[in-house]
Amino acid sequence: MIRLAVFGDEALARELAPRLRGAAVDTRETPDACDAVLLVETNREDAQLALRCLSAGKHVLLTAQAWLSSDVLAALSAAARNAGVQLAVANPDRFLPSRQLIRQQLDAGKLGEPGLIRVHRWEPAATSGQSSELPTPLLRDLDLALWLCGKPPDVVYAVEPAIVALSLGERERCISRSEMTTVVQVHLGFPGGGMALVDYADRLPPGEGYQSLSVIGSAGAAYADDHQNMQLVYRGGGPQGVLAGEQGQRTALMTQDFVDGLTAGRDFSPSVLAWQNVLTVADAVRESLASRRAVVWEGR
Amino acid sequence: MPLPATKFRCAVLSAIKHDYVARGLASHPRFELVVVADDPQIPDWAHQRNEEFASAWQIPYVRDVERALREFDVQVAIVSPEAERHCDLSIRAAAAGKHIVQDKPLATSREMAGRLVAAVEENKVKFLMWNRNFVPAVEAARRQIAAGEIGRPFAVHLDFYFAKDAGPPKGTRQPGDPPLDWQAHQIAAHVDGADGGLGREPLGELAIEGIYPLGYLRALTGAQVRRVFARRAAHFHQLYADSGVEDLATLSLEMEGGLVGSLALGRIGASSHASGGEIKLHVLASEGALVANEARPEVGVYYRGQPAKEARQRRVAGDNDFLLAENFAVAIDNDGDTILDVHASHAIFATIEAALESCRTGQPVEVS
Repeated sequence: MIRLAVFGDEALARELAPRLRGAAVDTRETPDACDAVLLVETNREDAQLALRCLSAGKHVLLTAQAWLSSDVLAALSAAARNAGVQLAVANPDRFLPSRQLIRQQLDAGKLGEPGLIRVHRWEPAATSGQSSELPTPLLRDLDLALWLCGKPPDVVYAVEPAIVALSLGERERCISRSEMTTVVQVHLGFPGGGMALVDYADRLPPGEGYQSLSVIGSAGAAYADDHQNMQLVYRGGGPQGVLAGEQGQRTALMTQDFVDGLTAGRDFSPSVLAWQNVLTVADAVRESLASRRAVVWEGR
Repeated sequence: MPLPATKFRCAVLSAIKHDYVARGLASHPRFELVVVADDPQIPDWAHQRNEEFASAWQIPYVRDVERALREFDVQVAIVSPEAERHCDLSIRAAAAGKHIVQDKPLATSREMAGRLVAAVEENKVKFLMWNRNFVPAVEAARRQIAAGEIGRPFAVHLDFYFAKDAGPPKGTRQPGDPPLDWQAHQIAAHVDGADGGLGREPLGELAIEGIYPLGYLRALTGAQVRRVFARRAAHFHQLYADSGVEDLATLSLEMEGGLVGSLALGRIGASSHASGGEIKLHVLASEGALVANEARPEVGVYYRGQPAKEARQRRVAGDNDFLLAENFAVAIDNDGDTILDVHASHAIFATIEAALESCRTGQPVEVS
C-alpha cells in the first residue's frame, strides 16, 4: 500500500481517497510518514517543496506546469536520482477519459498511423495571467500532440494575430505582446509526415471555455469535441449549451497511474523527458513567432 | 405587372466530371440546359458520358464547342471537364461572350489561370466558381459575423475532411506491382462521385478541394491570404503516394487585417467518419467565438442491412444550388459580382500555389 500525501489540499485528498486502489491518501504539511507526494496545479514556489520531498526520499508526482523549466526539471531530477526515488511529471489532460480512449484506440492499431492531430482550446481571459511564458494549457496541448504522435516534431511554425480588435467603443490599435492575452497557433511537422495544429486563445468572454481534439489516422479517426457534447437548456430566448463535461475523473486517473507505476517499479524518467520535449518545442514556438520562420531540426 | 425575369440558355461544355454543376444550375427556373458540347478529339469514354448526360436531359450533344456556342443562342457556359481543360473551355466561352459557371479547381497552371482572368475581364462576362458558400451552416455563420454578434474575427480555423476512399490503402502495393494509374482510377471512381481529380495530371487534395474551405474563409472574413505555411503528405491512399500528390494537408494562414487562420483538409478514407467527413468552422473574434458543423441541419437514418458506405447522417434543407444560381442570375442582371468570381477564385488558386511551394521549401511563402 503506497502512503500518498496531498499537500495542503484536503478537498482533493477527500476526492481521491475512495477512488484509489493500492494507496492510502492523507494531507500533510511536511514530507514525513508517507511514501509519495502528489503536487497538483502548483506554482513556482512549490519547486522548493518538491525538492524537499525528493531529498527526503519521497516519490513525487508533479502536474506539468509552465513554470517547470528545464533548469527546474534538471534540479528536481538530480534530487530524485540522488535519493533513489521517482520524479513523475504528468499532464493531467492525458488522463481525460476521452484522451485515454483515443490513446487506447491508437495503441490497439484501430486508427493506424497518426497523420493529423488537431487541437483547439479557448479560455476566458481571466484564467490566464499576463506572462511572457506560454500558458500551461497550451504547453499541455503540445504535450498531447507529441504523445499522440508518439515522437517529437522536426518542424515548428507559429503565428499569432498582429492586431486584436478591441471591444466596441475602443479604438482599434496594435497591442504589444505584454498587453495581449495569448492567441497562438502552432503548426508541427513530424518525421514520417505527421502533422499537428494546436490553436490556443484566452480571449473568450467570461464563462466557460471550449476544447476539441481530432486525431486522423491512416486507418481511422477519433473526434472528441465539446461541440458534440453539449446539452441544451431553454430559459427563454435561444437555447443555451451546457457541456457534458469529463474533467471530474482526470486527477484520480492520473494519480492511479502514478500509484500503479510505483507499485510495479516503473521508471518515470520518460515523463520528465516528455515534458522537456514540450519545453524544447515551446522554445521553438517563441523563436518562430519572433522570426516568422519555421524552426527545423534536421535529422530528427 | 413586373416583366418576367430573363431565362438564361446554357451550354454544358463537357459533363464528364461533376455533372452536379449543370444540374445545380438547372434547378433554378431561370436557367435552362439546351445543349451539351465538347471537343471531338476527347476519348470515347468522355463522349459517352456527355451523351448520357445529354440523353438524360433530352438535349442535343454536339462534338463542336464553338458551333454549340454559336448556334444554340446560349448566354451561359457551364464548364465541367477534367481539371486540365477547365481554363481552355472557359476562355473559349468568354471569347464567345458567354457568362461562365465553372467547376473547381480554377486551373492547373499559373499561366492558364492568368489567361482565364484576362479573358473574363476583356470580354466583360460574369464568372462563378461553383462553391459551397450557401450551405446553411456557412451562411448562418456569415450572417452572425456580419451582424457583429461575436465582434471582429481575428482567427478562423477550418477542417475539411472528405471521408472517402481513393483506391487501396497506402502500403498495400506488392513489390514488383506497377504504380497505380491516376486517370484510370478517376475514371472508375466516377460511379460514386469520388472523381474530383479527374484528368491525366494527378492533383492533390489542396488543388481538388481547397477552393471550398478557402471559399468559406473569404465568405466569413472578406480577407485575402497574404502568407501561408503548409505541410502535406500522402498518408492514406496508395494512389496518392504513387502519384506524388497529397491526400492530407495542413495550412497556417496569415491574412490582411492581421487575421490568422488554419486549414486542415484531406481525403481521409471512408472508415474515418460515419457520414462522409467532418467539416467544421471555428471563428475567434473580439467579442466571442463560434463553432459550427458545416453539415447541419442533418437527420440520422439507420436501418437493418444498411450498406456500410451509406451516410448515417443526411444533410437536409440545403439550398446551395438554388442560391448560387440566384446569385449568378442577379450578377448578370445587375452587372454585379458573383459570390466567388474569377478574381476571388484566382486569389484562392494563388494561396494553394503558395501552400504547395511552402510544402516544397519547408518555410512560409508570401501569396503573390
